[in-house]
Amino acid sequence: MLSWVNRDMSRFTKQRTRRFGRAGALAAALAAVPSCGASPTAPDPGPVAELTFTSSTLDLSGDLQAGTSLRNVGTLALGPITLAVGQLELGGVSVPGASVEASPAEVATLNPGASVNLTVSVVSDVALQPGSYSARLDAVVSGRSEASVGLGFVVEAPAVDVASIEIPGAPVGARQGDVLVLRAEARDESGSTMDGVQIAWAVSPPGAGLITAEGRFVGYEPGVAQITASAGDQEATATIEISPRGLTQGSFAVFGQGAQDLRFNSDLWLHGDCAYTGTWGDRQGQLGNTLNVWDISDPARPELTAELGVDARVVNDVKVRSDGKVAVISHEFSIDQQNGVTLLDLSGDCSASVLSRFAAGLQSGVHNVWVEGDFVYVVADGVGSGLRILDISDPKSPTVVAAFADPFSFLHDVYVRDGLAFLSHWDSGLIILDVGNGIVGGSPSDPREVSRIRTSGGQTHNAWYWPERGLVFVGEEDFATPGIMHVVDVADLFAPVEVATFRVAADTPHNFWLDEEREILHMAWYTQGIISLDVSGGLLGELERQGRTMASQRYSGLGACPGSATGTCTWAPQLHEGLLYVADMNTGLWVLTPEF
Amino acid sequence: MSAAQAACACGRRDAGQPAEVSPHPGRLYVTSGLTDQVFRLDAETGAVVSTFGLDMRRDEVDEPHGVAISPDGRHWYVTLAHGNPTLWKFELPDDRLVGRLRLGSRGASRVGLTPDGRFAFVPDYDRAGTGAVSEVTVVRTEDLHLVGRVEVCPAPHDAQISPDGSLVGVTCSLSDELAFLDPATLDVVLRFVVGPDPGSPGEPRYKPLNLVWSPDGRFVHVTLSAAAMIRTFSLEGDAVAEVRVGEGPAQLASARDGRLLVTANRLDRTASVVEVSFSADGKPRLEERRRLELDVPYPHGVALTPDGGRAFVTYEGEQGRPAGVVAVSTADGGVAWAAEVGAYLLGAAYYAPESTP
Repeated sequence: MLSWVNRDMSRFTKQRTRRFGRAGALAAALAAVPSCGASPTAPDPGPVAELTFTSSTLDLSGDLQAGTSLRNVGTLALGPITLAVGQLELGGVSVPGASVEASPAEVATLNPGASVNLTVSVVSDVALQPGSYSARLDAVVSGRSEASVGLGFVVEAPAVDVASIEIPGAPVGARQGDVLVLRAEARDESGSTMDGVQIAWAVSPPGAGLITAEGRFVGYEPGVAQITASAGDQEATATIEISPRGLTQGSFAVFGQGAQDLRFNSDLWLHGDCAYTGTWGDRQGQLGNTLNVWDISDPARPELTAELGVDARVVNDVKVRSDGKVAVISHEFSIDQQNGVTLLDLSGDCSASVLSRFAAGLQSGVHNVWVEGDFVYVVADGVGSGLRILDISDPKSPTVVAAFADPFSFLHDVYVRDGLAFLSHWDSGLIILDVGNGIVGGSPSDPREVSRIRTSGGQTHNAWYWPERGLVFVGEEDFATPGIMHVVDVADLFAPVEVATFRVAADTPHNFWLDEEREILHMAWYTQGIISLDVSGGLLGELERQGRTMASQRYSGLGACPGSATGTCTWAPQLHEGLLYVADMNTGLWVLTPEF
Repeated sequence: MSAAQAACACGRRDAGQPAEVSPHPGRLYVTSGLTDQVFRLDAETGAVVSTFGLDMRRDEVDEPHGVAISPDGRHWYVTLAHGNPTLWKFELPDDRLVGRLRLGSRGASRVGLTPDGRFAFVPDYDRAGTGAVSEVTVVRTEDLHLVGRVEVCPAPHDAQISPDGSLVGVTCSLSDELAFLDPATLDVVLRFVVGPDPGSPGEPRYKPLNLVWSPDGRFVHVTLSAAAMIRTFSLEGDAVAEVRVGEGPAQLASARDGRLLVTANRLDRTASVVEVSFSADGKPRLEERRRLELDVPYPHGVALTPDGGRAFVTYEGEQGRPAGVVAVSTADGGVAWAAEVGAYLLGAAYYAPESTP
């Protein structure tokens, strides 16, 4: 009898088990014994985990904002709940520089019967052209969507009396990823050109490419793309043949390796014939309390020449000044609880000796550093702790000359170039400071904010500034969703705008190195190894759809990152004399030859 | 039961190692600061029963720090100190994660709970301010609603509530003070230094770190980490008793009857068992009954069984020697068990169903 009941009710059981989610074993056991119609009493369904939005769909048209509620209709308290919004799409492609956000973005906990009001808003640094946009909002608990609602809005084209429209000079062909600027001309009855008419652009088939409100087009798929410009009741179409970008995906050859698997490894920096790698955490009792120094005069055989022990459990970063005479390392979780930074003398052959340790005001820990001339830029741990700038003109006696912080988030990294400091300030975004460039009269002792941008998703981890092209490549370190590199256009430093993204589903990015001569961005991508991206030409839209990936390679196996003996766990690359040096958390220093 | 739990992105609960799980219901929760985990151990045997991943950022250290059991025994709470400081809430007895609140503070250390369990006080232990005044965050635990933050003193490390719920005692680690808040108004209603000639803000002479209240709420016992002592204060601000202990006393735990204190002496690999007695006129006396020679690197956290009979001391570990926990009899110093677990172990909290009211 019991076996017949189980067989008959199996589909019902499966549905009920899904509904229970993370209910306890007792509830699960009860669910596996379903009721039969003839039974006089129904089994106790046990605790139920269930969320629901009060709206089945959400229309953000008009104000580009709407409200809804999330309610816990189950019997279990649930939390934390992440209100995750997927990509905002128009015509099947994501819209760079525009996103939808929910406020609050996270609900700490929701008790049975409780509800929380949410505001869902469109956030955009770019003009939204007419069209029908869509996205989805999910309430995520422990990595799983427990409720979801579709979002949408329509941007209407303004009414305008246009007699004709054309797209003059449209090219007939382009490669995937090439950015074209199209222009539409609207004319009145007399044939005169009408200025200021808002053009609605569209691409077909959906997903063939992206076109912005300004008429910038990039093709994603090889084949024929139809570009339509419309205004009023008039439209014109251009046909563009999209050819493959033509890059042959290459690989890296392993040229050499400096194995170091006693400790977890962290960041690296190279200068001349020497490489410096930090260490991290606790690997079976071996602490991240060491700076390793390598002789790379024979890059096929890096030789560990020095191991400098310091008081730390994490030496997260090392930087060498451009003259090669001084290096700086960071301390976290030190035994003496002082942390701070240590300045090193590098006057020997691939060795290092301590000049000084500076910890005043840095006892919470230091995560990253940058050294530029007589100044060290120090990232202090803690929300609101921010940046300290040290004068190291006397490296035995550093002094603090300035500080800067956004009070709402912690600072993760700093990158300085051309007198500008690019602060990766986590959920406060990318903040650009003048530390000597002069654009707003700043200096190292008087850093002044130029501008900031919060790329969609926040979690701004690192940045690389390319002044020649007016771009910043920004890493978002988010382990819960696909890893994303954001491209920010800073041609106008006062008005940064996000123009492109690069996504990899399997993991999140870490540090970058740009080969500016060859226009290739080498990205450490943790378990995915090194991903090298063609960043030549204009950059727009979803770069992973444009045939720009030149190499994507693990140089070692797949395993826990960190934690396995041989699993790839890439922390950072650095291009040095034609070779790509890579620090791997699990295995040490790798020397790779790009074969592309 | 663990086999039926779904793995999840946060608050992940692994299968654990069920070996030697005793029928004794006592549990020990310890925070592993470098691996972003909390371990639940069998208090009788030291076996790891469950492991909880509190990894908000997989390859960055977020440092689980303080852990506390709610007075009604229905929840436990843990703080993450780095990155975005957070307070996590788990249900008892099944250890299900039910909430996590971003505190918005500069950091987070210990968790103090009101006697009714309705509010949590989390000091930020902000040491990046070089003596600048910093905050205690107040949370309503029922729905993890952020009530507010109150500026108290430089780098507050501990905040514990009096048995009658009328005062919150805060240790001001960088200004050699104790401060007391009215939990109803969050006003600082009392403040005094912990000894003569206190250090200047940012350069403490005594470094008060942790405190426990006497059961009658008349006194607080405080570890003075830079002075190798426990000192007892009345609410009039008078130092009424003191005892020298080992170097670097860190966390402090009290038996339920208040007659026994145990502190982890971070800098000399020991723990101190201190007896609390009272003179005929009601004045407390402290006497170090026993110095436990643990020989473990950097003892940090302490939890006690309610009767004070067994102390659990976490230790941070050092180069070449992993972190762990040692369980010791306070009566004779006998080691019941020692377990190497995690890395940079910090907080400890003991839970047994019969130990809660």
